[in-house]
Amino acid sequence: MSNNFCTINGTKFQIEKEINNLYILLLCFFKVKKLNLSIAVAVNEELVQKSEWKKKVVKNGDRVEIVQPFFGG
Amino acid sequence: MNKDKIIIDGKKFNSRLIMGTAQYPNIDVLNKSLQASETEIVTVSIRRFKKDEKMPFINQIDKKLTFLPNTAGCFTKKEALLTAELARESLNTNWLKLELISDHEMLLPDPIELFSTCEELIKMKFKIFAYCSDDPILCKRLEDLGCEVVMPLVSPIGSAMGIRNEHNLQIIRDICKGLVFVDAGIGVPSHASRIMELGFDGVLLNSSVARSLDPITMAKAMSMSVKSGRLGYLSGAIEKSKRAVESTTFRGKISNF
Repeated sequence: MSNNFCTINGTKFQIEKEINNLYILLLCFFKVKKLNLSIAVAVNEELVQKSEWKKKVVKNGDRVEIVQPFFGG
Repeated sequence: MNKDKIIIDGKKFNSRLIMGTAQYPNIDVLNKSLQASETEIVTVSIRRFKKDEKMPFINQIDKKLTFLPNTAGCFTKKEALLTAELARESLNTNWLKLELISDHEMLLPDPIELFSTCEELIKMKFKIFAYCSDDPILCKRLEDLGCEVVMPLVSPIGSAMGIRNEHNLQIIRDICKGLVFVDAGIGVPSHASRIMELGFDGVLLNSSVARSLDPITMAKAMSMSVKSGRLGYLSGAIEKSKRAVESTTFRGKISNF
């Protein structure tokens, strides 16, 4: 059992070790084979553009935020 | 009237009513209300993804509408900048309704934080719709800074109190030559109509429709009021007079007993 965690939207998410591909982490999180959502992602309060997802490293203690459009005024 | 289109960031729109999408009883009423309002631009927020959501909100809204993401709930420049970037990435738009509030109770905009954040976002190529207080100088400064649309409130968000300082609104309309929409505080259709009579370019509202007993009918009423007020403004209202001005002539009257 790994002792490495990142948080996704405030919830702890166990990771084996450093993940060198944010896209894979998102697929695991959503339990899907392909992402087709109007989402945007920030890691440690910095935007990670879609084009950078496959290169983005997620480490122990990182804070991932996944957002989407919602009702608003 | 058909020729009276509004151009925002180079795009033409027939409707001068921007609608919020929050607080509706359900998605069906929301969609029917948006349709009844004839709006072409709707505001959305940016929030954490919910895994248990059956269908994302955005997939349930008419795709022909133009989305205007907001930074609702942001208190600091840092929060607003990140929310802006996330909104641009998520919706593929550089339009942003910038809300930077100062407190939980009144939800009033923080003018100092707002101005400084606008400055930075404009440099980042965002088209800013700046939600601000009804201070004429602030509105003018935001316009001069390069905001796409300046959006003063008339009273606090969701208060339904309507216009509290019409004199300020008149000054704002006089000194701001660009697009000015009134945002927040509208309660009833006559508020929207009055704003348009004053010459404002449009109105943004949400609570007055969503929280009414019949949102679909209220949306229609708001749409008609915005159009009515706009026509009133364009047709050139007569000046007020302290004394009566007869409409029927005294000439030709049969007698003077």
